[in-house]
Amino acid sequence: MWDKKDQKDVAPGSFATGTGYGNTMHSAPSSSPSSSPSSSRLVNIGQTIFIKGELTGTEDLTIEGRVEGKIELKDHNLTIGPNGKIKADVFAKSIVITGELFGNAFASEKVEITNAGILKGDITAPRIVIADGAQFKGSVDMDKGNAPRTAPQVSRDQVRPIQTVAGDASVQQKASLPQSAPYTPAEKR
Amino acid sequence: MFGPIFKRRTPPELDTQQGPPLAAETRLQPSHVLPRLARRLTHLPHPRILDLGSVVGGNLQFFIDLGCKVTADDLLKPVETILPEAGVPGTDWKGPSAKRLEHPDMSFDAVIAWDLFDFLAPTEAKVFARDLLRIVKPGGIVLAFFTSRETERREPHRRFRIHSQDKIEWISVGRSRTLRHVYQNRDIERMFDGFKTHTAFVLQNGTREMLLEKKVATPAPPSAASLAAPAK
Repeated sequence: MWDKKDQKDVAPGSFATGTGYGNTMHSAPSSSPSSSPSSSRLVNIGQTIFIKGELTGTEDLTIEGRVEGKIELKDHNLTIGPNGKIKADVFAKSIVITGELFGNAFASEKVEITNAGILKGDITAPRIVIADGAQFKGSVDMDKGNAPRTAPQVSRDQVRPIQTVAGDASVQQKASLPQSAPYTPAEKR
Repeated sequence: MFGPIFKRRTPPELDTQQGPPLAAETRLQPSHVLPRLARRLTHLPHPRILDLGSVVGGNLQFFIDLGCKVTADDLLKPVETILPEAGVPGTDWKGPSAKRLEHPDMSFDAVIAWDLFDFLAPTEAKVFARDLLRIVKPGGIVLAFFTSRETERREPHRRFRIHSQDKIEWISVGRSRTLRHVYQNRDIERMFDGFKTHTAFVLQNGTREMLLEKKVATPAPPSAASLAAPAK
């Protein structure tokens, strides 16, 4: 439905005229099994497309156009391309932001903001990757409420660096912090 | 004897020392305040922190691992994107005053203001510090960096990446230079009226890293009427 071939037949803004919020678009036919990776297709929303409403689907999606409303891909990956401009809350397995997202990002697996990406909204995901140069304004919820809290120690012998991916600041790797140390008021100097 | 004390600040336009090289510069510096802040946050229930400045993913992860709920606000992004070509002093950043921090009063246990205050003009810095006073909880902490040089000069701003628990990687960002103001201790005390200095260190590279703690308001003495009220 959203293949490039089909985009030529869709007039720009055709989904925006008077439809308002609450319109649901299913981007994949029900016959395509979502669990089979081999059957997953790359579906694009082109630069000239503007969708206003609720967008749901059961396959991976790349957006280069504009979407306002809500995007729900649940068990699939969403990529917001360099030209993509989204004003919506986004739900997906994995979200990669190279364009702009004004809204909250909920991912069951990972949210990644590339160095050209802009996210103004809150992130809820177990893994987050924010590249150097990325623009982010919002809160991060990694659902670590039950995880044991540890405190770093000053000793340099025990420090372990937070691992980063070359060229960007990745937060995929969890910092390994030593055992908790009791807080003592720091001296004034 | 008094030479260094009364040494005049060189106006920025006359400053012949052009500061650090324009090429990307990376340095690993020790941090004395970060472990202290981390230990303090560890002992707070569900601390909330605000990270101001260039957003670095690894830094967010560091604080998340401490059990913090992290909010990021990239106030320095305009400096990276607006200023012009290499070596050309650009239009000075006007700072974030036009748009106040959009956070409720007393909503954060700590605020990390990386390489931020030096690029704010004095009046701007004071207004911004007052806004921090508003959003920080009593007893909350502000981590901030200030240069301790004697002269103001134009420099590229820096991005800070927490490398380990007591080391921070300093990375010069961008190729344009912004005027870095010099604030003495007395200036900082006036700027952060309502805070007290918790910890301050001067690093070998001439940067002061400071932890400023918001004063806890002294409770008002109980009124005669409340003392007279029967205990429930």
